[in-house]
Amino acid sequence: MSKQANPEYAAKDPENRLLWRVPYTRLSVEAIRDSILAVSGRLNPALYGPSMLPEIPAAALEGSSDPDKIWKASEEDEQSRRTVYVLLKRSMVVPMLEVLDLCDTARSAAKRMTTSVAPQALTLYNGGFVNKQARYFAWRLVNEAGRDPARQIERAFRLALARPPTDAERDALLQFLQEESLEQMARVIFNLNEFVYPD
Amino acid sequence: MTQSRRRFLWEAGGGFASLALVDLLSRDGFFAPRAEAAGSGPLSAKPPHFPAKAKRLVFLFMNGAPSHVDTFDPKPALAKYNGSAYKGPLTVGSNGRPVGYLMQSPFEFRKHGQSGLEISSLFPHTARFADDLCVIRSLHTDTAAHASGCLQMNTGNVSIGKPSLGSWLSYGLGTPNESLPSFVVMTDPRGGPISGPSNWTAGYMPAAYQGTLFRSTGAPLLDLATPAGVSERTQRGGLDLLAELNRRHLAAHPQESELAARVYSYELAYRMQTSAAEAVDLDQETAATREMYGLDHKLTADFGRKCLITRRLLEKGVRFVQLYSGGGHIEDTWDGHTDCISNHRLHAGETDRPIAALMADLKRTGLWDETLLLWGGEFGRTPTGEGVGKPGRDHNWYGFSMWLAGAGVKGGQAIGATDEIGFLAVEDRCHVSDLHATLLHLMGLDHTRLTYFHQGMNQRLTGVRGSVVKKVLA
Repeated sequence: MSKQANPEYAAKDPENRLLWRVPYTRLSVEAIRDSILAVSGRLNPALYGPSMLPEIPAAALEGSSDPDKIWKASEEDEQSRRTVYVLLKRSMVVPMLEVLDLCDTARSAAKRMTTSVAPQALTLYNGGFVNKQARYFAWRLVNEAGRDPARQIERAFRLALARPPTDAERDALLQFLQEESLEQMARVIFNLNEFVYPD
Repeated sequence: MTQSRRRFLWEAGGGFASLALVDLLSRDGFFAPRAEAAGSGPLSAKPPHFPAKAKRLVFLFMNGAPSHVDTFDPKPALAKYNGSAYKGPLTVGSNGRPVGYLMQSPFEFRKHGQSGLEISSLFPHTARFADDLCVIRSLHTDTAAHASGCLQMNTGNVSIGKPSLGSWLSYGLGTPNESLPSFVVMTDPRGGPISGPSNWTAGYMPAAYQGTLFRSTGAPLLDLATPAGVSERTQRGGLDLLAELNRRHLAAHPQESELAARVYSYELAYRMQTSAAEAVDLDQETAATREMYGLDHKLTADFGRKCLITRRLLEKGVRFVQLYSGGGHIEDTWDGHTDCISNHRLHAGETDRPIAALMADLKRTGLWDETLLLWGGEFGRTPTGEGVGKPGRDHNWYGFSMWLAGAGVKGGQAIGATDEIGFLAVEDRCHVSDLHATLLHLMGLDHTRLTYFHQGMNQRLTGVRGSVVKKVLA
């Protein structure tokens, strides 16, 4: 079976009730965050040790009963470890994890739910984490592909999507880079459907 | 094929599904507000079970538990017994706290309005609306602890993980404005309630129904603002590029509803950057309005701002707004263990004028006829002092007061009663589940029919309890 569309089957069973294809599944938030770090080049692969506390927006702390003490972010190198090392605190779940469908941490869960709601888009497009990693990704592209935009785009697709861009995609990105920065292109790539729903 | 390209199943997860009619492949007008896009998601407006006046609900949550005998439940007998020991059967003293003597209220109760509803001197502004208030003096709950009490008041259950009242309303009724969340929560700057987001969680329902925490200052939603240093042109340009690339990807996977939903979510988020920002931009309000809400006075500025934002959100169609007064540590909430008198003076002083302003404003704008208001905390406080000669009061889950007002509510009355000293609800006892059943009824929902299938059961906000308090209804 494959994830590719089969028009004949799609017409008969658009909801895939009979499982004629492998269902598309969004990456879990842990995998999304880890992938962003891996692609930006900042992933710290250190194993073991205590949990780390990623930076969270100050605004998120206002809802807690003890905003000054409840969350002291770790050093950035620690924060760049895999998401499995994020401290899970019942009274203060990291907003990025919570928004992107982390399960209820207070009880067992048979499965993760996948939702597609606007606060997730706000987190991934406007949030501090993604925008910071987009900057690192842009630096990486310059380091590894030099100053030629076409080579930067090629490298970006290889790193983020594990495939070369199509001609149409390359053209769209080249046009974008005429007006916007590499960092902004990196930000868009982290938000692509294909990035979180890999083939 | 055309159908499968044009109609996407909108999977919100958790078994809930509705059809989306978002024609994502059309070339024109993709970014324009789309009439067919509204009404397609999990939050699309749904008809109630039966016609009802109330379309929106505001829950003024007095976090920490206000004392009913000092606010809405006058007990002249406490003057008679003042300074004597409580000899009844109820357990006094939570968590081993010291037990004091029966203590009369230092606040004078007076009859207000044509109805003569008795309200203490803590609420001179709210008292002007006495004829609109329906006080229930006979509430009782299942727990004397704040965390579980807040959870029960918000989710109908003392344990974490059940959908909150706002989630049930969003699930049952959706929202008429999909440029904003249906369920908005604003906490006190001193902190949120214990268990935080568990009080506005969607629990086992899809996350789309969860409450959205607004801040009272600055960006009302997390990451709502365009990142610093990014121009509006760049922000939009990035979204256009994203949409173009996603559209190409989607064209190769036309039947993937989640991909379509995700594309849509970026446009909704972009609209929210504007629509939510508009709702909290209070600059357009007149000086008279600012004064009415007390925005320029330190004491009332925060809650006044939240009440004014509430009116703005209600105008824009938000279904449920919950405001918290009090948060963080004991005396920063209504939890007057040490000195209930100055505690309540402070918290009533912070909220009374803004709440009255909200009521006046709702009447002025006509929203009053479609808006239901609920005031109260997770339980009440003891008629005894906490420790001999100390002005504090301890937790009381045996009996306490809340009030309702607005659409569908019969104002100017007090329902039920506690005993002579205000300890135990004795007349027309109203469990929290009865309150929830009544609120849903006022919003046009039958609490026995509003169910969500989970763990092999049709779950309800009211569990296996709850009956509508008929005396509340106009």
